[in-house]
Amino acid sequence: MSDAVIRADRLNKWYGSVIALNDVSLEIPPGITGLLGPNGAGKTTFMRIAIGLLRPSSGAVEVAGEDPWNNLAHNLRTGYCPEHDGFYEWMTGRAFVRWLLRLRGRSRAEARDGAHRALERVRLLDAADRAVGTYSRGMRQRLKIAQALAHDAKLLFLDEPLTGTDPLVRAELIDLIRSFEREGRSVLVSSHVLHEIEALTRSIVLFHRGRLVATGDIHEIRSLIDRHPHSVSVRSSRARELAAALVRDETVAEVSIPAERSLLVRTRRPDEFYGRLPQIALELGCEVEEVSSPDDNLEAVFRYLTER
Amino acid sequence: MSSSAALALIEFTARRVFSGKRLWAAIVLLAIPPLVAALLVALARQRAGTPVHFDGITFNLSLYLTLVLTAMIYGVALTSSEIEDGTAGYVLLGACPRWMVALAHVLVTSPLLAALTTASIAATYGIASISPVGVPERGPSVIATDAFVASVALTVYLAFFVFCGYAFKHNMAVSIGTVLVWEFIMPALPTKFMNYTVVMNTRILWLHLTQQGERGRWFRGVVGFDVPTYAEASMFLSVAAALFLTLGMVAAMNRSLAGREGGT
Amino acid sequence: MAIVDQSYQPWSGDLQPRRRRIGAMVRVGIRQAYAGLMAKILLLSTYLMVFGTIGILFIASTFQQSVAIVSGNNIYRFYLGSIFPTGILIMTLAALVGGRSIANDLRFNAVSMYFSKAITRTDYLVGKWATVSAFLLSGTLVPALLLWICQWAISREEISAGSRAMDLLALTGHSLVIVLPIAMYALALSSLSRNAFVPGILWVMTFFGSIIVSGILTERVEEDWCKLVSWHNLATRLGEALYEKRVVKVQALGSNLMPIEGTMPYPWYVPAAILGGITLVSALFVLWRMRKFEGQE
Repeated sequence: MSDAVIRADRLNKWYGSVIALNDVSLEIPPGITGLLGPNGAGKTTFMRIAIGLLRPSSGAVEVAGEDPWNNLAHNLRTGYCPEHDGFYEWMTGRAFVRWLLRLRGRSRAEARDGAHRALERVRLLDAADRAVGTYSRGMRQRLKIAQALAHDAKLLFLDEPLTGTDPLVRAELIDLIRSFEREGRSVLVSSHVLHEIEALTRSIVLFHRGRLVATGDIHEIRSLIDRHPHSVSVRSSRARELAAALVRDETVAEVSIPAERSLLVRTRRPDEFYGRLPQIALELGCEVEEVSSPDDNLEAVFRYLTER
Repeated sequence: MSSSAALALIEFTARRVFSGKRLWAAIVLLAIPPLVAALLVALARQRAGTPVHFDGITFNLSLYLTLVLTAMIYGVALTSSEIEDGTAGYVLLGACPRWMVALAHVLVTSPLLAALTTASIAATYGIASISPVGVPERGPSVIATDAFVASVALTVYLAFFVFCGYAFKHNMAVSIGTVLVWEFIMPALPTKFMNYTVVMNTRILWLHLTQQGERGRWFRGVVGFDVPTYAEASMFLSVAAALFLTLGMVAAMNRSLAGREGGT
Repeated sequence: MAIVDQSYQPWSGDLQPRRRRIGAMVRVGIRQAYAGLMAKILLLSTYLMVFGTIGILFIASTFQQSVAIVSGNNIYRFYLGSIFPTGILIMTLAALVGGRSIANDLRFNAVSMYFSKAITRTDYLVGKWATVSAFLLSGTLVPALLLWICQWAISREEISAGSRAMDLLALTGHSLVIVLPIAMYALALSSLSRNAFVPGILWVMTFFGSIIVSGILTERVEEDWCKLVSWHNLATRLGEALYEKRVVKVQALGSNLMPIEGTMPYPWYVPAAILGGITLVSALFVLWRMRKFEGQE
């Protein structure tokens, strides 16, 4: 895409014998893009290269058409919310944001007003004059986001901004991040939790073990899961009889009995199967003790995508 | 790069000198010379004939132990601690170029530490002057001279620590280890290598500025080789300061901050 | 509907005795201490000196010469009592390992983790003290033991079994006298800050500063009590008192960094009281600093 905000070309990063990014080439469009992957996938490494804190071992990255390394103009138009906490604990939240604004070239008055607006935006005004060392986890996350957007950055990099937050704070932050897109900003937000990203955007980039696994619309990814046979684990005292009945059902692709009183069913139509299972059990007069799906998670998606 | 950003950087660097537990540690260190002077003055009053000698305290403490350790406390805090705490990235992602950040670390912190050191030297002088033979005949001007010498040494040390902080992954181990061995132990060993230490050259500078170059009872442990001349000492310190400053700026421009190490 | 069974069974068994819990702390602490590259380099440096001494012993024995520094129990006094390199190396090791011992726990919020288990403040202190002491003993006692074994194996001196046994006890005691107060004091400093290098620097200031100040005072005041200011002198004097008084004297090698016999005419209990007092005050200080963590979950 010609209007890509971030463009990476054969990007590699290794630390000794550990490959953090492996031949990553991608283009990230404007708007909100979710950067997905399990821990150690390379999300943070990619972000830090794009923000200009880390140099790639080879390859190139461009943000808004420019190399981010040692680029002051890039620093002024991007904002970064890091994954890990790194604060001057003795500073107040307000002083911290104000100082960072001044470091980005704002005058004292502008920094004061900008800090106030940013803290108001993240609902941290009540605690703004307390030392950061007294903040809870959620407040620290909000402070990190406040400092990232305080200088009206057009492009925001948010590295796991929802980690460690409670459901209320999470909902607020999701609304806040969605509002950035309405303001015309582009956001790259990373997470290892699928439903968090689902709440923010349809456009995602998937990393796994340093490699780019997939990009595109989130629903395309979900539908891949649906085409791939789902595994459903069923526990019953009459497992063999139940297995014999299930294998005749058209929604079931495969049945195995890994242990006594336990079935593993594979189905390509999980929604239909869940509807059929109670019916079959009732007809058989057979009690079902437990039903679970070991497949319904991000790990399974990656497993499927990496084994393809 | 904006002047406002540069000013903010300078202000913040200056503010950090006077905040945190490191200030208390530095105060404890810098209080040692005046305390030793006070002890000697008290003993001189009890016991006639006990010399106090401000110069001796300066030579053995102010320009050696307290100087090196104070520089170490602040030098490590400037970069290594910032990187480890995860706050270095905020500064490097600002509107000031990275080389300026490194330069500001040294050029802002050095005079402030020199001011603290001057206070320590002045306090030592004031206490030593209570004793009849405690202070040199040159008078209080010796405070300014000693302070100047200390500030030169501080600049070299801070530049070295900033360079190590940005250049090496295990920056604390490298910087502290090097200074402990090269600046603490080496000046105490009677080998020619001592001529290449900052401590030795600082003392030589001091010798020429305050003792008119007369070795007298100074450098008694140096046997079998010559100590540097004033010109050599000046050049050594100037070159060392310039070299480490330049290397520090270059290292800052090339320093990557990985996730765990740097946090931000 | 109340949840009456979540298939969770609380553990029921016998709690291990305190010494085992402390032992678990010590094992982890020592592994952590040895993991550092700088610590390994410094420890290796102590052994280089030991091997050098063994070399001198070997040469002296081969040529049937009597060399003062490797004769009798001087060999241990020389190694353990010298400021350079042993004193400086132990100082640096204590700064490195002792300085970060409690500081890192404070920094990474691990103190609460300790006290949420069946560990009291005293257990924590004893465990940390044992960790740092064990690590420092690997740079003092273990090399000294190596010297003892080599002297037994190589030296042509006629030393009775009783004297050898006394030497063994003496060098063990000397090592403990060096290590235990240093370890406790380093822990006290370590409890002051979350940054490991600040306690380390304060310890270096104490040790090295005491030597320098003692030197200044000795030169100016010329009285014996000035030598009590130096930490190194205190440990050396106390250590000296443990050895049998045998014939050979240490020859001064012309450098003020080498140990010189009989430099402090105070009985052993004076430095013992000073070092013991420092150790006790340091221990109480650590317990006081840790009081707010005990009992927290």
